[in-house]
Amino acid sequence: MTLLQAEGLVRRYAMRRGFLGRSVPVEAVAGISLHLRAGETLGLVGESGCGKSTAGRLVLGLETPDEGSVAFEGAAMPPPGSEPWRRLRARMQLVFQDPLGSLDRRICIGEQIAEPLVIHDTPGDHAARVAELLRAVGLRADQASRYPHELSGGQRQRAVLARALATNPALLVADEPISALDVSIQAQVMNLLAELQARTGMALLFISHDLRVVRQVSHRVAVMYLGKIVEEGDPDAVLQSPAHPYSQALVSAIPAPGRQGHRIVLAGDPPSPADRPSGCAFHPRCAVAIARCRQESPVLMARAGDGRLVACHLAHDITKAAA
Amino acid sequence: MLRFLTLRFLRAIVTIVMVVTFAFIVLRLSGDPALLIMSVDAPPEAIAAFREAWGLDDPLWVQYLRYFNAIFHGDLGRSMRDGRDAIVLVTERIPATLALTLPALAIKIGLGVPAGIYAALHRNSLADRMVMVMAVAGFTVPSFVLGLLLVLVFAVQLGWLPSGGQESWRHGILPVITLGVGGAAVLARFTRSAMLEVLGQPYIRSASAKGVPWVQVVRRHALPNAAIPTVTIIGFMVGSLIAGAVVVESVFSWPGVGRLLVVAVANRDLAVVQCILLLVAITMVTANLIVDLLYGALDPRLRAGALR
Repeated sequence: MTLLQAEGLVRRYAMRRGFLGRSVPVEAVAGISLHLRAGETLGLVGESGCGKSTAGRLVLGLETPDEGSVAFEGAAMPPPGSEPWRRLRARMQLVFQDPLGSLDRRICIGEQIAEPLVIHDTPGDHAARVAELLRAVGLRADQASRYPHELSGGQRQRAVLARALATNPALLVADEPISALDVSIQAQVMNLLAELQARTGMALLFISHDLRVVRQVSHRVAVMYLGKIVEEGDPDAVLQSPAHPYSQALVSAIPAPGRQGHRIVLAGDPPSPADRPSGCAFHPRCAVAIARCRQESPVLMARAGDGRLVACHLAHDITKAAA
Repeated sequence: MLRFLTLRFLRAIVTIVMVVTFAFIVLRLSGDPALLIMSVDAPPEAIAAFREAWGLDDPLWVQYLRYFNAIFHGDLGRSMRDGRDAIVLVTERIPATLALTLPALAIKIGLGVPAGIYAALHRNSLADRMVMVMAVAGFTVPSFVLGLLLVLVFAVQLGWLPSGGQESWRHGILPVITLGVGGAAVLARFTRSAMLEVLGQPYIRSASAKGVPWVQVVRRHALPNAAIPTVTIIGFMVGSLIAGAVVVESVFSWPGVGRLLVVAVANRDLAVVQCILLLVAITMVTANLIVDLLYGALDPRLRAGALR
């Protein structure tokens, strides 16, 4: 069953150009569709500023899309702030990159983990539930009385996870959940996420700039560039044979022992959604761009042969030529 | 906790001693009280006698030690003008000053804090812009300008309120407003930026993403966290309850500590000036000490630091 169905999401922001400049609408998310089934993990990858965090917020209904629609558990997303929307918060949760910032430093973590339970009038013994959650994320029940500053970075992110899981959400959006952690702790938190997902059956939207991390946890991976999904498919397949030139550059940038040579270094400036290039947004940095790429924006569609979703004129032509 | 308190207390004492020492030296270097009080054309014998009577003929360090010794015996010296105890002169002025500064403090907090919170919660709205324009105006206009302006309008033009003096509570209205408005403006700006800082934190976004109603997000998470920097500023305002009205008291001829200070400095009435400065230093230091203790209550991180 499809848990989450987001269709053709567009989100525009007004950006002011220079001092007293007139504001220009900027498309942070320029038409993406995301689908998630219960228990499934979708990895959303892209460089900073590509709109992946905005996509996460749209999916959660924390922002309203300018175009497109989000349906959760078969029902349309209620307007933000409304009572049904507020009740829906118990079903969908969010974890940020910065665990210390995500916790109120004045309140002990046990109380913060209990807050969603209190807000949503969850029946049962809240203290027992907090203890259970703490144990589930690998903390001790007696650490409930600790303040955020008394925990290590990894413990804080565990506490944040415990808080997110308090109401048994069906969907968890994890926005760069391990980027702020030490490398030694990253793996622990990743394993914990996978374990918790297996146990609770929640769907996970895992947002990251790191393809390798995404590959570890995801059932599917979607690569975003400048507000659009350029490639989507099985993580192993995408990593082994990326179809879109941008994915190819991303994959080649992953350091691998023994591999030499063929690292693709992207030319040109990092893109800004304020100056979206014509046609395919990637064409100014693309090594294989042809005239058509400058004029016509490619559509994300299944590639002949393996059915991988790619938004690139050449990928489709190449397969066509090969077939 | 005890160690923290002792340490803070010792630091407070050092601060007070430094202030008093500085005042002592500067006052004695900046003019001869004998010449000012006796007038310049007094016979040299009379001036010499005056100097001897007040111990001004001794070397500076002897005077300094004598002064400190006296302080520890509870003697803050006598006024060279009328021979009364300096401490009596000063303390009889304190109620008048507090009659201005306490209501003014209430205005500062009662007006400034809610205005700042409102502006932050309605960021970039018309109300926010108006609060900020008023706040900028409020603290860029010096208090003597605002005071004179209020006198011009409400005393001279409209004739509603008296322009100076201390005969009735109506005389206090204009000085209290003058004092309160400037402080409220400072506090409004400060509260607003503290709130905006906190509202931008991930835990605020987390709270609303959890489904916490906005009113509760503000009450439970935003306000207590924004209170931490705001308390510092309020602490300064409490610390200046005694000495914060020097200019306004002069503008409105209000017989408080501030005016006594101005007159005493002009006359080189050393004991009185030193007594006031000591009092000011003590209130300021005490207010800071209270702020430090409040921090511990507001922020568990500092509480832990204090316990360590």
